[in-house]
Amino acid sequence: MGSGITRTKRFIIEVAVTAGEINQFRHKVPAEYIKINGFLMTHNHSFVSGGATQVPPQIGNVSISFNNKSSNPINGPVMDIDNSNTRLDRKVKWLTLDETPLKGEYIEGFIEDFGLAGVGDYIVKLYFKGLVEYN
Amino acid sequence: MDNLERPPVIKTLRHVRYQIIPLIIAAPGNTKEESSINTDVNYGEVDGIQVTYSDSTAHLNSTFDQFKIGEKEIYPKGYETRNCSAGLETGVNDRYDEEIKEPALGSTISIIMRDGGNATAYPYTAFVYLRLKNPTK
Repeated sequence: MGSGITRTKRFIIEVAVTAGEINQFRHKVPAEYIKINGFLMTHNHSFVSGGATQVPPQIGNVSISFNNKSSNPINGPVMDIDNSNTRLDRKVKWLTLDETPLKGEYIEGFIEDFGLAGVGDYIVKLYFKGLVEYN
Repeated sequence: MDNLERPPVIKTLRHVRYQIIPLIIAAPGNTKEESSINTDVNYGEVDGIQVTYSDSTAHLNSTFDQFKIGEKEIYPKGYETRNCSAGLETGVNDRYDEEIKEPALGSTISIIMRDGGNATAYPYTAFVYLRLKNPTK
């Protein structure tokens, strides 16, 4: 039986994206999470393109499912937190989620890269934050 | 010695204090570890974290390999430090990651920062700021 007191914790899924392809991922949710309530995404596209500051506004789509695909809350563009990742202006805002992960289940999905900029592979980081029991 | 009665010193706990942890990054790709600092023992909890840099592009691809308060993990390995930063467009009081609520009271801070290799010059200093608070009545 838990204490009922929770704290926020975060974990990251790194996805190596091949340009122009659909890149799948599957990651077991850490067992300690009782709720996942926030999502954030970054990518290092501008670095692999030689430090270019102009990244296309959308370089692909991402889809993320929970609990054996019974919940599919995220379908959207692959975006960096400020769409250039070279500036440091606004404070990071997490996308709201409301997922209750079942023990032993996976976060899974895919990142479809549009192959727009003609650069090589890059890394997308999918950040999740949620509640764990405080002990 | 005079015989004047001096008023008793009343030690009151202040509500807020900002504690600075400087991390000097010597060369591209280096890591810097700091595990010998404790939070101010007079403050009950850490309720905000901010990271700033003495170099304008040092935040790019820089990550934490570790960030713990006491034994509790705050940021996982690979967490980009810029997620704890904001620039001049953001008010100073709003730049903190505020989803932190960890007991302070002298807790050991354990940080390993990994440089992303994108600073304009080395060495530079990254500053981790902790917002320490005591509960108000």
